[in-house]
Amino acid sequence: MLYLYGLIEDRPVPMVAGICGAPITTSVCGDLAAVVSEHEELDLAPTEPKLWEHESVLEKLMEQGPVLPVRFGVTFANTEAVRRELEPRHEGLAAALERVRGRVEVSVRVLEHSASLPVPRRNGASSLGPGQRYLRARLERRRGAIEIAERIRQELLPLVVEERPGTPMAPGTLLASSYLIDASQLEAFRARAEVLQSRSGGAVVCTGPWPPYNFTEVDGS
Amino acid sequence: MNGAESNAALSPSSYVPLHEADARRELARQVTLVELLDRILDRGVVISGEITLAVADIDLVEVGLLAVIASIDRLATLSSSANGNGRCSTSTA
Repeated sequence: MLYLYGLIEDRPVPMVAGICGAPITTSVCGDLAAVVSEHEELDLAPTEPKLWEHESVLEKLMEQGPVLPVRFGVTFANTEAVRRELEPRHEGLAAALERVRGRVEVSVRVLEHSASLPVPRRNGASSLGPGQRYLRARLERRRGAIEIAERIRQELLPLVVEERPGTPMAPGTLLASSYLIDASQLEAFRARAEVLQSRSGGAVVCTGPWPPYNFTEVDGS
Repeated sequence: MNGAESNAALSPSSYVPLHEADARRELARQVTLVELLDRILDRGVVISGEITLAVADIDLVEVGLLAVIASIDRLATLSSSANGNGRCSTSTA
């Protein structure tokens, strides 16, 4: 069976070990190529090392040209099956590759607790009981933190080609967005994230460059 | 984005209690793992080969993901109490 990592323009691939150490190769379809490795059998339980094996193949490919990452765990019986999948969608896939050419994905996560501003004092607060004061302070801190996250976002947007807002999953996460940026802007983006982090006194964690997982929609599919 | 570097454990002789640098490094590692899981299991170009990841597996991973996110918050607290201003590292590739 063939394990699939991602799609690229047809070009030679680097000597890289994929899942379980298997060498990667390509399955060509017109001027597109599916990057695969061949396996007799494969245990695809999603362990952390296996996920990183998949990821690191994509990162190597990304150094040499545009790549459309495929999620973990997709296999095909053989080359013919890969071709059947790609051929009818060739045009859309080529356009999707064009969209990410020379670009990378970065992620920004803003964590709440330390992103909070000093709590503004309100007149009349002294008439509240201690419980109410506590709840009001908590609410105001939360509002302040959300404002900071939005300000951080606004400062990053000028460096960005496209934004994909994520759904913050955990209560403490204020922002978890993905950005498609020109690779040439990567250093500037990181530098700005650093500045924002120290200025807000907050936990702004920027990771990347990632393969453009969040920017792979194919028109008409 | 290298998972390997993050596994560097302190040798017993150099062991110090978790403080700023360790907390920051650990925070960056955990966030990186969350970002990886979020992408690699659920995003990417839609290709309908045989998808071998069972729904049960994804559920398990999501449970792990929530645990990781919960620990991020704890780590960030450690990081901020260690150095007083809440800085944590910007993870780089």
